[in-house]
Amino acid sequence: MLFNLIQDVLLLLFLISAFQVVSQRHRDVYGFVVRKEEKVVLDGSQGLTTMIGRLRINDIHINKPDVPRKAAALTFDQKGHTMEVETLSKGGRYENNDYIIGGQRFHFSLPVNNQFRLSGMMPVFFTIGFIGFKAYCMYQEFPLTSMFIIHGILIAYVLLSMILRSDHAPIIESIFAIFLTYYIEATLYPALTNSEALAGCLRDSLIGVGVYVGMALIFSNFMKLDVNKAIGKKSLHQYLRIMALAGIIGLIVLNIVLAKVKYGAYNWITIGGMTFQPSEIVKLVYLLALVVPQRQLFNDRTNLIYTFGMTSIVFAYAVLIKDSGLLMQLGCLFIISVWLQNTDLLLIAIIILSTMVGAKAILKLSSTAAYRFTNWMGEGNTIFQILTGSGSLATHNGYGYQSVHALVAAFSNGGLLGNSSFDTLKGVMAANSDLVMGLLAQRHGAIFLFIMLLMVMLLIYTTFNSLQQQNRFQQVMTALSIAGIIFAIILNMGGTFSIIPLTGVVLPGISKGISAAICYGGMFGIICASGVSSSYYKLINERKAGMTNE
Amino acid sequence: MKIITKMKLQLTAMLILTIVMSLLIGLTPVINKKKISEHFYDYIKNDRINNLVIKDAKGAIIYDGGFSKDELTRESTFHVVGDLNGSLPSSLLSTYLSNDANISLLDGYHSEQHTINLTIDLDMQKAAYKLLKSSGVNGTLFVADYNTGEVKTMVSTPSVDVKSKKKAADKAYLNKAAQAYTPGSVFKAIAVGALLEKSQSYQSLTFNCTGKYEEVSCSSAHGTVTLEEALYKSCNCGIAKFVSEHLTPEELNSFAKKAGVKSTDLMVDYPVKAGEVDANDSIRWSSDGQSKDLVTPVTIASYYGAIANNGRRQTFYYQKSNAKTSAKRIMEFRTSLFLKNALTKGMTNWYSTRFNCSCFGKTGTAETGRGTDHAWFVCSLTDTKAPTYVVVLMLEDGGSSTNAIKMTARFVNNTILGG
Ligand SMILES: [Zn+2]
Repeated sequence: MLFNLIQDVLLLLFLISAFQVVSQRHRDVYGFVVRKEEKVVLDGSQGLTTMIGRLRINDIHINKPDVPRKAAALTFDQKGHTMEVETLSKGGRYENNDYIIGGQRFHFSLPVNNQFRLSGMMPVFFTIGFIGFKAYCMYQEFPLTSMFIIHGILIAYVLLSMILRSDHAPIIESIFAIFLTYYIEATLYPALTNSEALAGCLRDSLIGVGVYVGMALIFSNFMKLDVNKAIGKKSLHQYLRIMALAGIIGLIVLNIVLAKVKYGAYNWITIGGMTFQPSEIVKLVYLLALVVPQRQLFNDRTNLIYTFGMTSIVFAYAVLIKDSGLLMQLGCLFIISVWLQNTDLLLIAIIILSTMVGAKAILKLSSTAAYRFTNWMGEGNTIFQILTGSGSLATHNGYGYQSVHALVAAFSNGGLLGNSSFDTLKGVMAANSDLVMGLLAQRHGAIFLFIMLLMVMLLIYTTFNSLQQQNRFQQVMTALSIAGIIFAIILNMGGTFSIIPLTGVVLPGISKGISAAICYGGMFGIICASGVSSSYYKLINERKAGMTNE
Repeated sequence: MKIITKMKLQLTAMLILTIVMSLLIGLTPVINKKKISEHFYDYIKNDRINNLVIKDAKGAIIYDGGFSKDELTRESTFHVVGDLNGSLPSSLLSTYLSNDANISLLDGYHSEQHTINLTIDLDMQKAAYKLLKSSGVNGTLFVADYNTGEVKTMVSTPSVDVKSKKKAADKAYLNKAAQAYTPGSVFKAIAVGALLEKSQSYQSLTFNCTGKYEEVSCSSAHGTVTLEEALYKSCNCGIAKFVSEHLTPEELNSFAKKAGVKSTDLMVDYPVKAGEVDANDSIRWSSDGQSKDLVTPVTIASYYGAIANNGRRQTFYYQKSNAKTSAKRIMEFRTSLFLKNALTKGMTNWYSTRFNCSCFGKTGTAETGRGTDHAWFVCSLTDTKAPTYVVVLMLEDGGSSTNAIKMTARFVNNTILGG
């Protein structure tokens, strides 16, 4: 109980300091400050890439018939400390940090931000303290030195992020590392009731944490790489999309050929002794395929065919394996990418409408989903009662069995601070994957559950503020990744506590599983890369005004 | 709309969704407080019975997270252990589950193993059950240590097999050791105790039994009997005369009460039914254990144990954690000595060859008014080579006291002394 109290206090200190850091940085801007004559038209909050053209989607739009729909994308070259102009259509002209178009002259300069603050490092210190203390707590239950190796990886990850990123406090990395300490706990769960399972659990959690952190590092660095330059201009996303298509088809074939029915789902495959779900990885690859930087999703026939073809394939796959949770997640990614990358409101409306109709039709097709839905509703409940779990509680011997156990574990059995045991969910399948939050709430108490929800809010808030520090490709990737993660969290936590029907979606960063580690590790990595590079951060703090060496 | 604005809108929507979800999660336990706590108590109940271990006096397992696989163990211990439906409110499982679990607001409920050690001897329990079952008559056998208060055997037939789905026999859910029955002659020791507690001079009373005295009758004329002889020869007329002449109904009632007839707490951890004695109706029949008298086998064991224990009654217990060491004096030493000697003479004269150790005891045949009799036999072992046990056997509706003695002797010789 005392251990749980200390953990809660450390987490609250982290939350308070992180909220403070993020709200301070809220005022900072990173994009070009643009002046038309002497008047400021953009304050830098548009992100690292400034789009110029006739369409309203552009950061600077000039309503003149001779101006192209999209004229140019102006980006600050972080390495060369120069402005890089990507001309999309003829009509404009670049001249000494000025861009002249439609008879108007726009002046670009770097913004001025506040200096580096020491308080920005506080969240990281609390995170490292928390992970260290958590390792000590786990050691009380499993006195094995190898226990410290797993937590050591996390501390090294957070420390490395802090050292390599002087530009901003690595708050997303910290949240991710804190989540992973609970991943370790959930993965070790069977060992608490059966000590013989310890070696296997320890290996699983080591591999899982390794994969999570590895994927995060790979994707976070991939986002920072200027791959466009390495493989030829404007071709990055095309390469990426072809690779993504091949990857998805490969995964689906793998699934269909090797799948064995496990836990009632037709999507588990075993390769080299490791069991995982290809459907998890499909989410990540589909996300990569949906990004069309500097373009609209349906602006030409190739893009249109590609996007719809890809979407049809993954949706058909989700229907084939009868995974309603996957279908909803893919639908969410699709809708958000259409919403972000198109200007045509009618088109957006059609897409959203057809997706909703499709979802409803599929709910009728899949008996499991329909069963879950009707049981979650219960009989004769008001909407408010349904949304607070009354339906599930009425059917505790059938559908509600799992969520009732999770509710009891979280709210009655754990008390406010948790009882450090797993008893309520002992006999419940998926206690450390789908219902992991019930399990952790029992171990750490109801207060912890709300700290966890606050962490999710902090994650969104932090992403909110670092989005504008990026170029468009990164922005779209980040927006889709955060959507993928948050939607999964809502489906999982909502399902666990009967706010919504159970969908079998795991909790990113916390639930046990290697395939989820690959998928959400990648998504976390993409979000972690949000924010500007350290060199740019240093530069804008050194310069008082203007970007040229005046 | 600019892409960055769209993204901010998207994130704002996600933030609002998360906040709404958090609120709903927070409201869930409030809205469903009653239902969640119902499930919680269900869970706790299951968890507690899964973590419960019941052991007998020698450490043999009676219950270990579930009922024993051995049918004989289950049936012989049913009236002690009880079942999970609370069919026996006084049983171990029922009282265990009705005690509050340790739940705190701060750290909730902790699942932990709980072991209950009994003073009951499983081997004796099984032997007693087999003995009663083979007799063809329903009844109860109760054995306790009158010196320490430990209950060694508490068996009642018919019993229930908790794992069987068959309908239980009539009255199977009653623990007959704790139910009150017409005591018959075993009550005489209480009546004599009442006389002597008033005055030890009554020891020298005599009476000439012709087979009938007022409304009371004997099966045959006993001739001239002393108080001692009236007791061990079980002379109804003699006891009736002595008591009715020298005691008021209130005095008999009062001593019967002191002897524990109306007590429910003779066993600290198992409430027994309060008996009855109303000498106002017919003091003569009352003194012979007929009329309205109702006494539980536990009370009889407690009283005869007190006689063996020099007038001091030891409170019984069957869970080791309830051990009580203090005994309560319910009669003078001289009274207990007189009763012990009288009852020993009876045993020596008629039944001594049946028992492999010295003991004193009393038979009883109680008319039920239904044409059948309750047969009683109670004896306290007084041999130095035997444990200080008091044994009560009661055969309900249709037993004969001869049969009761035979069965008790078999139990004492084979199980208590032989085991
Ligand atoms: Zn007589």
